Amino acid sequence: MNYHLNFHFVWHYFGRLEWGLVLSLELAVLGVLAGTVIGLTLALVATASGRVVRTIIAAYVEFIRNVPLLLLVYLVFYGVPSVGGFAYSPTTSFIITLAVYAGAYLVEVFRAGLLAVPRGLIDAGRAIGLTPAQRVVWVTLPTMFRIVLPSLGNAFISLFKDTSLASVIAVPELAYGANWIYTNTFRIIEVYAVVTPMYLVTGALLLLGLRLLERRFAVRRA
Amino acid sequence: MRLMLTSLPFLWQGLLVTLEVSGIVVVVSLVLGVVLGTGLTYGPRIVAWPIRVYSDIVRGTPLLVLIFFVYYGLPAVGVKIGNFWAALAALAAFETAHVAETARGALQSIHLGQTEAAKAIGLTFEQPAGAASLSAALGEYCGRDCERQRACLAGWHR
Repeated sequence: MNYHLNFHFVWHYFGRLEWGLVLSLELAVLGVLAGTVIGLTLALVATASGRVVRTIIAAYVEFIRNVPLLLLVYLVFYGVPSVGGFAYSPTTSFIITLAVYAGAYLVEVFRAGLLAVPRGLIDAGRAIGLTPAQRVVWVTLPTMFRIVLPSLGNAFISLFKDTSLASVIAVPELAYGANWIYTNTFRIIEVYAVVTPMYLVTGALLLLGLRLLERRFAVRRA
Repeated sequence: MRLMLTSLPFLWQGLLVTLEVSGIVVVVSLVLGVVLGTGLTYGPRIVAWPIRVYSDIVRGTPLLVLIFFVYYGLPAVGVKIGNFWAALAALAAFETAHVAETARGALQSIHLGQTEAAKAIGLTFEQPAGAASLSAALGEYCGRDCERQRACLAGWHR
């Protein structure tokens, strides 16, 4: 064992990791927000419409879930501009990819959540004279969000870790920062010994926050 | 189009490697994962805690970071490892942690009455626990674990 640890380089370039972590979190938040919009819309459409539309949505979900995220990242960043004849920044491209990816996963989550809303609640809404639209907004959706909160939280943490894939198209997030420091200083052990806890601690804090949220919004059954 | 056709054999090779790696990883992680999951559920604290720490660290790190750590990190401390084995080791470590958690969930969800029934007909501890956790872990594998694994594998062969 003739390897001497030297953390000097890591601290010297720590700014890259710091801002990488911030960007990773931003990407995950944007991804989960856009994914929620896509997933919720499609889930509502799917539960309300016939077989044809449901099949189309199911095809989208199956396609995305059976293709590696890395492939999608490449497809959106290199493939789409070369066909469409335009260019966008790696970050924009990755946010789009993550949104499409998260959307496909969240469709299923929201669909299950919508189905799990107790029938009696919706009937109660009807009984006090709410219109169908009001029933969705004031009864179905709030109840559904409480039910899907754990799954949504897990998806968010997964997405946070998946943002590491953005490093392959040079989005300056945490994993890219780590690779940058490594390729410039060859201090691989030190870099990853710092980056891994950064992912871990951030993930653990997110989990803690989400569990507190869950406890606050837990569905209490009488 | 021509390029696509001429690159097909090369891609075919890649697919074979992907399948090979995933096959090995599934077997290794299933065996190790069920063992660790059992330790996590029924083991004394001295056994359960190290597994808990291992599982939380591995599951809390992006797979990409784990792969880089193994591939670049091990040679730096003097362990020579090829890219194939590095990918295999990283993926197996990652999947093992996930399977361990699945097995733990499966074991904890076994109904107490069922355990008592098993005891009543004279089964030893290992028989019901092993069968239940294995079947549940296998079921899980056919579902989302497999999907994630496919994603991981293609992630490596870029």
